[in-house]
Amino acid sequence: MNPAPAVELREVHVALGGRPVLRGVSLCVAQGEFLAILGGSGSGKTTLLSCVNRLTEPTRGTVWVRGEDVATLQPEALRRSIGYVVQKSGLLPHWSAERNAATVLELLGRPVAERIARAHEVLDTVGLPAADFATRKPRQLSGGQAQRVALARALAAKPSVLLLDEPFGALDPISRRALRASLTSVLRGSGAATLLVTHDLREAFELADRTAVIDGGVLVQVGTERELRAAPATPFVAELLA
Amino acid sequence: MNALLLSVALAVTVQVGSKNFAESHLLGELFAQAIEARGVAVQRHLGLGGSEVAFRALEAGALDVYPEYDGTALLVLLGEAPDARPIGLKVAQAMARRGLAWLSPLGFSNDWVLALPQAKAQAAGLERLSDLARVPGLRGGFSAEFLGRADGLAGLERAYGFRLDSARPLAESLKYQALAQGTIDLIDAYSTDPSLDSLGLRGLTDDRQFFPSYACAPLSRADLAVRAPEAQAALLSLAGRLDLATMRRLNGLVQQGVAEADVAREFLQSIGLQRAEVDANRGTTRKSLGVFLAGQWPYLVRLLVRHLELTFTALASATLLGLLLGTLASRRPLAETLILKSVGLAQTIPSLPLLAFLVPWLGIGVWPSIVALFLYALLPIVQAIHAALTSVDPDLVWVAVGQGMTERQVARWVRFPLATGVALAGVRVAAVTTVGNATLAAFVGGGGLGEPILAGLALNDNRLILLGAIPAAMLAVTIDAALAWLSRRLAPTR
Repeated sequence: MNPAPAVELREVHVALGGRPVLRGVSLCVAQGEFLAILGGSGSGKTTLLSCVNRLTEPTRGTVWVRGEDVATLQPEALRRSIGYVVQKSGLLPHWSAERNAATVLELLGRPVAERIARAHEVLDTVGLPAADFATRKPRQLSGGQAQRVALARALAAKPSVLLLDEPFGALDPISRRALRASLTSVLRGSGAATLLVTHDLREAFELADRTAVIDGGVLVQVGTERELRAAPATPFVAELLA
Repeated sequence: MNALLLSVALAVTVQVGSKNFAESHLLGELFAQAIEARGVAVQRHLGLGGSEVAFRALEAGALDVYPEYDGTALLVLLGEAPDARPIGLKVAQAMARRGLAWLSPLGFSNDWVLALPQAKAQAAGLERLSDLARVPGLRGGFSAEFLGRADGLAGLERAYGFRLDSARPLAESLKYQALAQGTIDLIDAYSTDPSLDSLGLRGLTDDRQFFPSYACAPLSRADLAVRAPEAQAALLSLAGRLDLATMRRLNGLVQQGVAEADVAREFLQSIGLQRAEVDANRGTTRKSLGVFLAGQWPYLVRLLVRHLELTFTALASATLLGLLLGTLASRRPLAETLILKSVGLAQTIPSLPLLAFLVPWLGIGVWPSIVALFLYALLPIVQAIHAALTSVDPDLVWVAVGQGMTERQVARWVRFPLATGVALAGVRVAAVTTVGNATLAAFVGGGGLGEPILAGLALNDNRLILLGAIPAAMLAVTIDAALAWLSRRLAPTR
């Protein structure tokens, strides 16, 4: 028997303010799989991601996580079980790196000692030695370091699903490449089913097992780099790859 | 023992008030001393903010007596036209229906007069207002009130059929200067104004009785006769004892700087209503500012404590309610409009009418002051808290929710901590304005640093004004600095 997919979207439609943003998107991400969602700005890729942790509710269609319809789950409990990183780190400015990293553990009511130990562990993992960074406030961090803390926060509770919404998008090209290079093993090694939203072709192919191309709210093609290059499904995909 | 307790329980304290100008102050003090001379205890509430406040305090039972003028009583307090003379009877009847007593008039009437220098009047043959019609080319300088009121200059010109060459509004002190320099010929004045004597001015007789009379009498509660018959007897003994010349002379003494308590005592002694006594503090004419201030320490400390009580009570309650209303306004669009509009509306009510409005419910003293200060402090606090909460970065809230925070956790960990800096800035603004506004408490007998300021304004005594104004300014600066320090401590990330 096949295990249930980590994330599944079935015919998901989303309209925001009467404007259709997603139009019948169906998608399956296996446990441990790394999927990139590639598209231009306004294509609906961020909305797609936020349907998974119920920050956006579909107008029609269903979203399933680990075999359960998310509409039947308590939203806070669902979100605490999913790692979430956005373009602008979203760290709380009055909290230390350590407390930011342990946010989800705090929400889950874990004991303080465990929270601190785990926060130090993930900070080390993302390349920020806890001895040096644990007590720093976000304003004492560079953009890249803040993004690392945000990733540490997403990984701290060992989620089985990870949502990354352009995690390197706000950085300059050089630190962006450096960060990606140093985090590839962390991301690939987390064991979580990962959905990475990006508009960067190289980023998608470098990190992901498969890439889903989205255009105007419609999922036009899903496949490996080779599959996409071999048979682009639409002129848009062909142009993207050229 | 029992008899002693009974007599203590029955002992009344008579509440004597006055309005906030020199003559009313002096008369209030005069009433108080006359009552005290008969062995009845008196509490003074001198310098209340205008006729409305004093009258409402009397109606509410917070005052027992204050000096009033029949024209003012009829026009302003009872809202009737001053048609027939004498109007005293009409006032007495109307007051009796309200449980108040218009006691026997003191003897003078503080009427509106037009005045000009003696020499100029003689040269032009001016004695009565009707003479103005045959003297062209006169230039007038008048109070804004006299120019603005229908029964002021416009009505007067119509009644007497004259027309001035020019009529410009001038401040009280400038009027006399301009007259002395000859840039104007004619001013409006009050008939008890001592400057009429000291500057050699002649008041023109109102031969067609255009101006209402302003005969002065003690206006008291009717039940004073029962509760403190000795006090009422003391007030009645003043009947007819103060004619125009005497009142003008007594006002003149206060204007020269003689303490009003001394002026009142000497007058009462001169008419045999108070026994002469040896008083170590006699002759308190003006000392130097330093000596004066040094002698005022205990008084100043008392004022300061009261001022702080007023400010903090009002500010603390406004902050608590402001937190509630500001939060509500940041959450619900309907509440937002409703709350911001109504709180803003309270701000637009001028302070004196608001205080006068509160007196019937809350009496005089600290409570109407605290309520008014509270209402004025509410707007900046609600606005700041609303602005602080709605200006929190929506991306931060989005991510916090995305991590699995509940609405309450977002409020506790994201919205409120990040709003602290802006919200405290609003409290700072409110605190500084409240310290300033709290000086207005003196208008309704609320005490505080406004007390010497108002007395100083009424008595034209700068030392008294400074005695209140300097500590008030220092207090505002100190509180501002303290709150600035606090907001740095509480909101270190901003």
